[in-house]
Amino acid sequence: MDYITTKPGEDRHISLTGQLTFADNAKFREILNMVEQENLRSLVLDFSKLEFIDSAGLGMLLLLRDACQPRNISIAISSAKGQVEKIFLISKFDQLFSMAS
Amino acid sequence: MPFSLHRHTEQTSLGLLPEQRSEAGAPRGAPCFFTLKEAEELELVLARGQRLFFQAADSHNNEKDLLLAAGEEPDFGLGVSSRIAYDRHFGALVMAAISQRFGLSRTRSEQVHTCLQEAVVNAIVHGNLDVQKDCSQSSDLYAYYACVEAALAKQPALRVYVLVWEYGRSLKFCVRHAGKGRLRDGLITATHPALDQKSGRGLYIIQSLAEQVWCDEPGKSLYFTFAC
Repeated sequence: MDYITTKPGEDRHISLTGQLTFADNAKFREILNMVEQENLRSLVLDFSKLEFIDSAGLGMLLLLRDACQPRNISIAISSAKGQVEKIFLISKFDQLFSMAS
Repeated sequence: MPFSLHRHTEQTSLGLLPEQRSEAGAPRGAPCFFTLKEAEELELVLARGQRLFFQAADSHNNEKDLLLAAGEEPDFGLGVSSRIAYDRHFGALVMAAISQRFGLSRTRSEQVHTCLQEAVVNAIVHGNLDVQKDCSQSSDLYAYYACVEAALAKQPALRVYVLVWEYGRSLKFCVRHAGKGRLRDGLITATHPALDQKSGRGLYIIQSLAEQVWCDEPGKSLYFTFAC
């Protein structure tokens, strides 16, 4: 997995690319650190370029959500498609995250 | 074992005959043993004509016997170390070969890829490395990842196998580990995990996508089937 910040500042947009799987936990930690250490107001994760996610990737997203909640940082996922969108549906992630197409 | 389709002995759906020879001239029945260096370009290795691929090890002569002991020889088989499988987005690598060999549609490829990824990670973490379940339920997910990384550093070489059999218009997949851990026995009837559960969704996802899912005894292999 890789990511780029497409909109800096307290209303942060991050675009993820590639695959988010078990082995990508170290890279994902950088996004988690961003939430824990910077003064964000909102975070939008753009998944339009993310090709694949596994259950470990889902767990990492939940961890990110857990980090956002006590800090009152709103978190949203946008443009999930293909396999990623299907796994979100199976896992009912629309009940946990604000989803935008 | 609930799966009961008859073995198709004629030409496969991909049009490949069992006796075709590889590009190098070796019979397709002869396994390909590839080195650690070659594993860095695994996609090139898997493009060769053989059916069975094993990462070379001191005891590699036993690998084919291990597979045959599990049942009839597969139409495709790959055995790599847990380290390679963990580091190399293994699911994506092996899916390119499987999709090409068995003529899978894009949708079916995505589903099989998802199931293989979940099964391979389960085989590595819970089968080969035997990372304890209570470690995986820790509220500190990164402590769990650290457990896995530490265990993998101690035992990087234990093999994980992906096997595929073609039966007419159906494929049977098996992901098998070589460690001491146990997967579930029997048919899988995983219930939907709690919405905010951070781990333990893998089997549920496999069951949501595949036609049939089951483990063998003593919990070393996970099987699932798809129509093509």
